[in-house]
Amino acid sequence: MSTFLQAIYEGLINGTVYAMIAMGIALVWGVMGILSFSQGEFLMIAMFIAYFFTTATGFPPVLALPLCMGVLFVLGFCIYKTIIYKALQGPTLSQRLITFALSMVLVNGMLMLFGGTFRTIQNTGMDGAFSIGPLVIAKNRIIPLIIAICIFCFMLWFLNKTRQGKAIRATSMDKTAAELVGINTEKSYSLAFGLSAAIAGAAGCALSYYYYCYPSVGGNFQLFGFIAVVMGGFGSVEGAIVGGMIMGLVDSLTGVYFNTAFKYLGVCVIFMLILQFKPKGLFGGK
Amino acid sequence: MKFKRVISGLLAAAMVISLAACGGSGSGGSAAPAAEAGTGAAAEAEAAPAASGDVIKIGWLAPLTGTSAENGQQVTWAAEMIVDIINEEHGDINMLLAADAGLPNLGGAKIQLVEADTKGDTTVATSEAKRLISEEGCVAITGQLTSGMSKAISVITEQYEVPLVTAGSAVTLTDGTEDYDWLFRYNLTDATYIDDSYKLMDEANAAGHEIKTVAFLSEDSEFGANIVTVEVDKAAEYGYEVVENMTYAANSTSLSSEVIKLKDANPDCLMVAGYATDVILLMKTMKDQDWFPKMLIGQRGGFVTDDFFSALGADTEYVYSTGGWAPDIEKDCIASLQELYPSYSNGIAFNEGMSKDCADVLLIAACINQAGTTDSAALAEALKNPDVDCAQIFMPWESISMDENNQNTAATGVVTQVQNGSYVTVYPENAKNADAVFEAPTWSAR
Amino acid sequence: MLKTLFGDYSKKQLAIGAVLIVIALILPQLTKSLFMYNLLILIVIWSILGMGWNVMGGFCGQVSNGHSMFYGFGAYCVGLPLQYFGLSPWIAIPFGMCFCACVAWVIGKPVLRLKGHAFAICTMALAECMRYICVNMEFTNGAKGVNMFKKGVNPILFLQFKDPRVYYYLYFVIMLIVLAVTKILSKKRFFYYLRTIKGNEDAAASVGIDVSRYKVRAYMLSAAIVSLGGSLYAQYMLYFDPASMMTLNVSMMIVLVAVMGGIGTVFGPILGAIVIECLSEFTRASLGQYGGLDMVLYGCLVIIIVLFLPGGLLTLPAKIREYMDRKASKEGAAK
Repeated sequence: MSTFLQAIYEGLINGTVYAMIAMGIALVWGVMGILSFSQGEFLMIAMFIAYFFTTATGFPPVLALPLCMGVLFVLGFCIYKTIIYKALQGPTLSQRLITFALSMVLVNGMLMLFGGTFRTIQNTGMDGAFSIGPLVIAKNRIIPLIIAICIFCFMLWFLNKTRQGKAIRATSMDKTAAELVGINTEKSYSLAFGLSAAIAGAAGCALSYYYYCYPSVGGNFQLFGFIAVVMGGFGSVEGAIVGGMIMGLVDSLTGVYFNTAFKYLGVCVIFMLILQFKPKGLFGGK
Repeated sequence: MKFKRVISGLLAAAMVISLAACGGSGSGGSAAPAAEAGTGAAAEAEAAPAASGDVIKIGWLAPLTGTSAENGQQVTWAAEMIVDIINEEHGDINMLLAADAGLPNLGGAKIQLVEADTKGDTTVATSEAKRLISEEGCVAITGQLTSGMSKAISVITEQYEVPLVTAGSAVTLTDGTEDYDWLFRYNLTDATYIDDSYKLMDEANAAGHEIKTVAFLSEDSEFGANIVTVEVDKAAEYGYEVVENMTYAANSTSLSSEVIKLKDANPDCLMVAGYATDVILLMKTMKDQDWFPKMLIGQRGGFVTDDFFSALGADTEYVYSTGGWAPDIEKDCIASLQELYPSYSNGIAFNEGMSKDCADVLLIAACINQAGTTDSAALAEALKNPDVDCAQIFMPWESISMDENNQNTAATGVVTQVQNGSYVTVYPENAKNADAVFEAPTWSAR
Repeated sequence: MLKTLFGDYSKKQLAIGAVLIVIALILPQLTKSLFMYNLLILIVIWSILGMGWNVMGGFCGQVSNGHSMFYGFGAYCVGLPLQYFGLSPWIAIPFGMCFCACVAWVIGKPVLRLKGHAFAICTMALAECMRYICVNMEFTNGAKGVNMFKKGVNPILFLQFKDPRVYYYLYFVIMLIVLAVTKILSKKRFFYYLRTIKGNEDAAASVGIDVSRYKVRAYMLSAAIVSLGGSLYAQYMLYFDPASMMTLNVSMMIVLVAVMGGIGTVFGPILGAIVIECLSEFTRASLGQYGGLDMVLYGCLVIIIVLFLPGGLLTLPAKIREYMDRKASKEGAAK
């Protein structure tokens, strides 16, 4: 029983990371229809920022959260204005390949700048573990969990309650109609891309508590982000969160009860099964 | 009509020309032009071996980008250091070829390391190997770091008859390739490393510690797959009960389910084969879940990298690692190397991970010197029967004796344990510098 | 048949084509470098892969990001029969193509129901699944890979040549055959249906085209050609492992080759393969030791080409002409 509970708990924790990456992908997909391959690399850059912040100042990485999100937002905004803006005029496939090539440039650029050393933050200020009943809870996984929950709430609030968030959602539903009612779709686009990078930034900051950081770390998470998005429902941010959580659970439970070698296989199989019964994803209906 | 005829005529002519050129020296004849291309540069170098200032090229393939980039870079620095020691006069270092500038038997010819990036991808590796052989005219190739790369490249070196010296440890590298004439390995195979691990466990039992069960955790690439096969076979031989045998996907997003299972099985000894990324994550996850086995034996890989220490700090304490080298081996030249290396590596210390591959560079240089020529057949002969004084190399071996598969059977390894922040040799008896701490304390007791 | 092959082209174009083929045939005779031979062979193999993907992604508009699966299967289909039964690749290669077509047929129907990005991600997930299976199964040798190199076998029977130029000529001929097949098919009803499906699936269905059946057929053909590419690759390298063949990167490169050259065109993939392979090999050979610089440069060039030539490099002459015309007309207007 304790094993089961522990597996569920760990699965949910991992799920929050998948969910955060998936949210960014879902936002870009929903609003401008691009399948962004560079999301993982934004995550990696944020991890580097969190790492350097912590080693330079000695403060815990959570304080780097605004910095991570801010820098990544600006980076995403700039990338939108220089590359994606132009790419949007071309075919969908070109856009996908451009983000793929962009990720190649970012990975290897970081490799040139900082080398391929595996860095971890050793003094997160939260060391050791405590237990509640049968559960062993690591202290350094609590802050990432809180960050993730805050980001989820913030995104849901932003997209559903604020004026700008509603504008982004309107743009994603129908661009022409949105323009007709006076929404500046160009602004929505750039904001959405910047925001998706910023979410990856938050994910990177959270992840830096217990994961190592090096230039190609983003690739480990990229595919699972995609899968979570499709599982939840194309381009739906709420769906991405649920999709990410399901993936974390499946990954953890297959590992514990079936075979660790096939835990990602389990994720892919569940994903394909869901698609067979709900071809538009769990929350897809659009 | 006329036009089509002209075109078909042209095409036919081109076909004939190319086929004729191919047939003349192609698949039928054994002396293929590509082989000429391969040995051509070597032949040129051979034409004037005496002139000092000659340069002999050794091909060096390492992953300089991708996941293993850091490891590849550090090993490359080590190889550069060895080449510099060979090329310059270092009377103070008691190492082969250090005292003279260049190779004395070839009129002081200098060694040049031609570096190429494998990107950790076999296609790229073979493509680069071909470039090193034909464009650069390298007389030998080494430094692939992993067995998988060596396997891919050995096909090329076998075809173009260029010696390949590997430090990969897979048993299948020499066992599956009995008829390979150009593949050499001076370092150990997994079989010896794993023998050492079990013998250390025997010692623990002899010292009154209860080590009965063992679990294996290995990554799913070439490296882990080879090791786990040997581990399972030998567990029965040494009489240990295997309670868990897990493979995980390399560069995992999380290792928590693995650790949950391990915690459930609670083995006395855990053997891990993984690269630095996963080893770091594993140690962190084990700490998060508050579990540590009595003995954790790493099979090199991530455990012998510098990142293991820099990323984990004090958490590395009590971890064992097998290895072909240790900083406290009693050979004269090791101290000099340790002193010299940080100036190449921005301060990183010389470690096991780099020692094996750069030892290969030294041995190739020594064998070229022994052969007195860069002719590949003579070099292969020298590599088969190297006449080197093992006191003058920095590996723990007493002697070198090559079997029919070109595997050094006299190589010996060590087992080291992290004590006070660095690896100390704890096995075998005649090489050890400290007693092993057989039962590691739990995380909370540290 | 000759008419379907050459009928479209003017004499000038045919002459250029013939000259290009002659150059391609003579090129290996001009160099003795293994690196150049290797480059030429990789170009030919990647052209085949690109052409295979193009049937599906270019003509039918179903963008798969998981073709590395068939690439890997193609390699296994020559490697494993050789290991277990000593089967000659002459039999194993067609077998592999049939096998991959069957796989595509089985998975085609459920997977092809998905559209757009979802289809791409699903194929990616499928390819990952297959990689995990191949890496962990005993009979595929797992991660240890398949070694096909044997000394002293009959070079013609087992396609193991010492001279890389033999590979090049053989593969070049195979590539021309694949090219001819795509060219002929592109004039047939099958490919017209595919183009209609690409244009608008609902419209295609409304004029009576069995959309899902033709999509599955395109998928099967595509899989078979990519499998051929994988078999040829394995036969040339003589050692392969799943970790370097069945990755997401390989899938993306296959797409890139077709898109770079000109998606949905017959010759595009060849041009794409030439550009991509030359770019990656030469940047690596000259800048490889600077840890990452070559990939940064390569990535930037890819971004620039894809960004400014969304129709592929084949549209470059047209673009230049258009630019010249515009400039000329502007100057004319200024006067």
